[in-house]
Amino acid sequence: MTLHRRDALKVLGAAGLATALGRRALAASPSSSGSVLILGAGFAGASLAWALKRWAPSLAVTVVASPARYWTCPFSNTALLEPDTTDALEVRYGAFQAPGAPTLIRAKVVAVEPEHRALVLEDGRRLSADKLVLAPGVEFASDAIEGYDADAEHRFPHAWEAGPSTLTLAQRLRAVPDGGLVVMTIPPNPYRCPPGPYERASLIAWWLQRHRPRSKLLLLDGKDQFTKDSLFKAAWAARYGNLEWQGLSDGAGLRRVSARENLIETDFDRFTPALANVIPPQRAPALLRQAGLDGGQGWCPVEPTGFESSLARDVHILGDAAIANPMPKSAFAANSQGKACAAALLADLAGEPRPAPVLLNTCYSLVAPDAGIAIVGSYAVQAGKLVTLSEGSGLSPSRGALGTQGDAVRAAEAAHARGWYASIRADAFREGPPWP
Amino acid sequence: MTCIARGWAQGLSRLALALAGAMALSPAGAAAPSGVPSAVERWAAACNGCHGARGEGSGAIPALRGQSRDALRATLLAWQQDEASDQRHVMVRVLKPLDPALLEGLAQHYGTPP
Repeated sequence: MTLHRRDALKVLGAAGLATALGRRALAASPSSSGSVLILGAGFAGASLAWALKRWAPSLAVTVVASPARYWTCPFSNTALLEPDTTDALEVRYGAFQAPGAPTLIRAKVVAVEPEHRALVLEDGRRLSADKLVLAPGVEFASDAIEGYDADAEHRFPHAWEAGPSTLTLAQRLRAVPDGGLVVMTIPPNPYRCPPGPYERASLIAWWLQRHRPRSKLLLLDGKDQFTKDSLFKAAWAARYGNLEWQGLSDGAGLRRVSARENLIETDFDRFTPALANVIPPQRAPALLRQAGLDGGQGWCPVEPTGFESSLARDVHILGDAAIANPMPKSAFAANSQGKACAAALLADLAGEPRPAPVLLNTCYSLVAPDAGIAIVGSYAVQAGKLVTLSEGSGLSPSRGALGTQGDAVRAAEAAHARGWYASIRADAFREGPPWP
Repeated sequence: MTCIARGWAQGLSRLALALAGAMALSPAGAAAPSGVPSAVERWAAACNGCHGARGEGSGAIPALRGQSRDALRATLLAWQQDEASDQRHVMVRVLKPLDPALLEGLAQHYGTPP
């Protein structure tokens, strides 16, 4: 133990972190001591909080989350087909009431003070801890699209945060007359849930095919390649004659929207659709950018072993707001990062070297309600950088490779997707049967 | 036939390695007093992302907890080595980078003793 601590001092001292570690080394003891303050109780923040409590029950863990209700983005696309299921997307945080749970404070945060590892709440309270972890998700960059004002957001609902917005989009879809044009605009990378727009497009096309057979879905994409594109495009060619995808090279880059004119204008064309789902570009929330944690890049740089900010000591940033390439901004990645960060925080607090992070991602996408595809990523830190391990990564097999097994395999992956959703909610939010 | 035999032999040697690894693992399998999780605990936490907070499974995602250690070890080894089971391509890929000691550690972590 002593040896470990001395080694860590040496290593971290070389990186100029000795002062901070000295404080922690004094606090280190056989049982975990110290405190962790977490902003955000989505997949990253909640997973981190529960992982800390699993491994160090005596650690003081406080989570500050928005007082607003929270519905998961995963599986919100299926709620467009079955709006009654939107309720089931809500996370109610019941397990946080149990003895031994992390402390959950529902409050609006008005400032982040990285130098003090502190959060300032709207009611004036100021919380700080040995370690501050920020997992606030994304902010929509409404200024990145000309004409995208509050009226435009209302007219062209993005539904890229689930809940009421999902219901609005579902209702608007049902108001499209047969023969009406539906448009989706998809932002350039990076953004939350890279395959999400294409899953949504698949499910909207599926719905239109059955309920608005003369309607067409046009995808206007701000890029030329996208995740799982070979699998999505094959599924669309086989299933959806009503879906057309245009990429950036086709002139599909979004130039301007106008709520008043009901207009979607691209580099090459102008559309006045019956419904437009405009998914805006995104960035790290203003709270983090105002604290200088994005270094002016829009997203926050971190080191990959414990997701500590590259710009602020003892401040860690997880999930969508962080630059964690090649990991995507997904719920799965956020959950995985939360657990890796927990291990790193406990090592830091004990004055031990951080263990190698275990980082995985699997994104299931539905190409129809009963057909799924998946992409798997395994990651490791090499020479200080996060890299994809090719042998632990890849896509679902193509239809050609599956032959007569194709439908069964796609159906199995749809079932896995549904099972995964229940599991990751149980893991991240401790939903399900009481914890023993 | 040769391929099958070779695969089987590889399986056996992996198993032997895994068993050797298991002995070294016992101290590392438990959390250090500081709460810093062992490699097996960190991997199990990753498994739980799909298999539930306790490895209990859900719907089409199978439970890991409660399987016998022997059955779980055999399944993990089969997926790691058998490219043909592409219906489970997610597991084939996720398990590929794991060394035998970790695989055995996971079988011990979730599986019930014989």
